[in-house]
Amino acid sequence: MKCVLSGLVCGYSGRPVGPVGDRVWSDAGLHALIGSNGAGKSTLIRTLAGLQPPIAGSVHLGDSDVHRMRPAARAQLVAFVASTPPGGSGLTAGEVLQLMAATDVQRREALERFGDSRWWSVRLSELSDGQRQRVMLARSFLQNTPWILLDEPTAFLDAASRTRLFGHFNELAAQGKGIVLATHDLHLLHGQPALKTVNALGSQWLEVPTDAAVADWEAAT
Amino acid sequence: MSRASWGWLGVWGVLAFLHMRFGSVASVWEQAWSGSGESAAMGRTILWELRALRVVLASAAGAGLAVAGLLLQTWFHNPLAGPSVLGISSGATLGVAAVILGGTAAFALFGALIGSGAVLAVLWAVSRRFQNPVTLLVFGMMLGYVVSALVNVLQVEATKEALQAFVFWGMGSFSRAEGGWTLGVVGATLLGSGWAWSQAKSLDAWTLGPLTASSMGVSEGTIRTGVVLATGAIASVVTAACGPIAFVGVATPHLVRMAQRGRTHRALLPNVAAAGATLALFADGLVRLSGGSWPLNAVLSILAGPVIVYVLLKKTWAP
Repeated sequence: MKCVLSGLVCGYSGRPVGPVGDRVWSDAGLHALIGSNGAGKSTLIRTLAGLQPPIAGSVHLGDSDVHRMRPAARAQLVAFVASTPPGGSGLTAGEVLQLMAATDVQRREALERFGDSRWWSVRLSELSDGQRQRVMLARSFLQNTPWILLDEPTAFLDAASRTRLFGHFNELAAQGKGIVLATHDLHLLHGQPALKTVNALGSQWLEVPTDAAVADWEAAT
Repeated sequence: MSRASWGWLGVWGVLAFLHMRFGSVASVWEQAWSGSGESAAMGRTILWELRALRVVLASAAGAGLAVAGLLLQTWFHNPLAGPSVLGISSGATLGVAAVILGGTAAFALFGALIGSGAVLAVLWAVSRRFQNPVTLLVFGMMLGYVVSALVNVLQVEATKEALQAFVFWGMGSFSRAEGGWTLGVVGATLLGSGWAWSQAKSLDAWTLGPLTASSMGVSEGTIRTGVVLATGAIASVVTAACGPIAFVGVATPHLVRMAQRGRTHRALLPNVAAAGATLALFADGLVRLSGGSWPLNAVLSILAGPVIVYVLLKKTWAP
């Protein structure tokens, strides 16, 4: 299922944030969004997820316009993880994962894969920011959508978890899933087999070559 | 049912029995169950039409306000949200003030219903513009201030008797139990709680924040409309029937969270309803012990105030 951005302008109350987007992204791979703070990565991710209306243009996943769908139908196509994990929920990690359509075995597997199965009966409010974020990643994975949109998911993670998460991206891409990732971890993008496009947001929308050029671009900016 | 549910139901049952068994008229209980005669008929009238009706009204009002409090705390992500903060009680107060202070006390209940209904209509209309729940919270508070000011102006113009009647209404009471209004309170509580139960999973997702909930398929509009209508219906009918009831809505969800570990709405809702009914019956029991002279709202404030302070001191709060 392709993700098609047509003349997309993102922003708030008529005020654009970030460059205009015209892109066709194929699934089964990782599409990275890079750029300095305030470049419009989060705004773009939220717009792609259908959580915020665009100022102009459209986002299509397959034949579906994500901004003309009911939330329940949209949730079948695209999952989303915010940059800051929710701190105020008294639900346990297990109760959060039980909100997703899956078996308890699958839920425990997902928790083990992205986090630690010992967190099952621990409240989100009792976990650290990084642990909470890993529960939210497990949750988004259980949503079992063709597209997963992640807004700086590694911001609170320790180094080992970051590397592990990028490993999962390759597995997910191999299963045919499309992943859009806003990130500052340029070094982790380097050499990822799943990486399809690197999009540098600035005054313009530049596509950076995915191989060694990532490092060059990083050095140059 | 969980152990906590049995606990709340057990305490409620004991309180309900005490309310039925004892009262200002002696030996009603014995007379009501003693076959025939005039005194038996009188006993039955007092037992069922006064005591039982009062138990039902207090329980349904307490349960409804507590469920409304839980819904608002979840929706606002705020431990201090409750049915009184949306300005619905203020609307009812204005309606009652206009009717009582205008000199026609007989229609006070309708004044409350019209006043709170008007605020509810305004809230529902503007809630779509207020994407951020906190904005709506502040809006409700501002509405409350304006209404209080209007009531103050009305009070200056009122007669002494009317003013007394209004102050008395403001103290809140379950003693004005009457079939029709009691039925209304039971109905609103059942409707509001039933809607909350049907949306329990969406409300759970809502505790993860609006963006995440929306990405999981929860319709923000459905939740907003449902919370405003359910809490509005409960608060307006209860306020019309019993006066503005303080603190039950805010404090009860916290009492339940202290007593149990489960935080899903399916685990919370039945116990919050049972605990609200229990708190209302307990407070009304103290009012009846005092011979009806202690104001219900004063008793509730003394009981619930420390709970709120405890929550504030506890720093970590999670819905």
